[in-house]
Amino acid sequence: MADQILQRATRVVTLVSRGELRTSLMDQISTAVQAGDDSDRGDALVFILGAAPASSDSHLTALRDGAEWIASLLEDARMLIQRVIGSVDAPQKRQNFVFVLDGAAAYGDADRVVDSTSVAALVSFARALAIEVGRMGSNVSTVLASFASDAQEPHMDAVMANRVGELIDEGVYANGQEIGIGDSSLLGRLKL
Amino acid sequence: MSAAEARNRVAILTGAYGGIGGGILTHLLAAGYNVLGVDRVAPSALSGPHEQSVVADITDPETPDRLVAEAVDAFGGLDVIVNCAGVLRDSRIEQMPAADMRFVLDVNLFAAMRIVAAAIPALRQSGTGRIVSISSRGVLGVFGSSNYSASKGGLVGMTRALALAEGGAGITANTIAPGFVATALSAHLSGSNAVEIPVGRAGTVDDIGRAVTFLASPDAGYITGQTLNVCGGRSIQP
Repeated sequence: MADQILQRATRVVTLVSRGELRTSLMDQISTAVQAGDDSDRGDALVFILGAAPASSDSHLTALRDGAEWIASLLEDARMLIQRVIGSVDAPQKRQNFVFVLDGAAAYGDADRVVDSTSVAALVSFARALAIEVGRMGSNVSTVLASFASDAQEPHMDAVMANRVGELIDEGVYANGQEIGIGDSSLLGRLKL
Repeated sequence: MSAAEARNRVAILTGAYGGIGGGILTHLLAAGYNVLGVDRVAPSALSGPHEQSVVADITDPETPDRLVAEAVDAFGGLDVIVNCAGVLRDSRIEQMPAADMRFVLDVNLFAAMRIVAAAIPALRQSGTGRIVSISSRGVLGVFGSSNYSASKGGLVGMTRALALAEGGAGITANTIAPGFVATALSAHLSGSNAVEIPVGRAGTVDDIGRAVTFLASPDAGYITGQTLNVCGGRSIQP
């Protein structure tokens, strides 16, 4: 899946995906992002993380081998954010960052220890980032979604996409927050 | 009585000779553990026959298997892993070099992942295996420390997955999230931090050592997948 650069009037929205994702989700997010507010609310970066490439049936092997995948995600996020945000000394307009992550993995998944680790790492990364960029009028939000329910819940992708669209326009009201979207499969689980 | 019950419990402790690690080491030894202390430098002295030290680079992928083998050889088994080694390389995201992101992840997170993977077969044999990882209140976000926050958040995610995967083998996995603890690592932080903490003081390495020792014990077998915030109430403060 290729990264997308969406030009919206005065705004540039960079849409990045890593890992295995449904094409329909990316398409709907792309559509929602382009349909948003065209007023000058700053550029945006949307970072969507799907499942790690399958490496092994054993979580012990996955733990041994998972470091490079997680490192690549955080390095990509660091690099992309630096590209969008520019120099700390330069006059800037507002920037909007949205992470779209798998809530089921974040809360713990015995079969996906690398996904659990990487998603929780990105949640904390986003929180720290929110404290930093919030002081410059920018914002960072995370959508923690239930990625697994595509067949049973055909509207789930649309709900997720619409939240992303809202957050790149109005994310200042959700800076540093995780927005949960999921069916009942996430109920009763301890949040991060 | 099983072989594991017939001997003292055995722990591997990374970062054993730093501030928080030193507190954990003291409390584990006081509770009767045999401890293999791991750090980048050797301690000036060992406390006695229940302590052995290994100087090792935990970011070397070969190190974890060696540590587990040394613990089993020295003490006859392995019951507890305490992932305490941690580093900071703070800077704002605009200025953070790739090397600083990677180094913090290597030490704080990836080394812990590999050590746990190497240790789990021995922990399964224990019957009451324990994994305790020192995370941080920084999982909630810290200014200028996005690499550190990410590494500590990752420990929480790993812990939850391990708790689900290994609970049937009697292994529990938990994290402790210290708040402000007076150590060399935190010396650069403002002294005024202490008075802003609800309990009115900075944390001590003993506060963390006691919490780790409890979670490492067989008595804590019904607690898994949890994060215990040892922060003087700072994490609930507006």
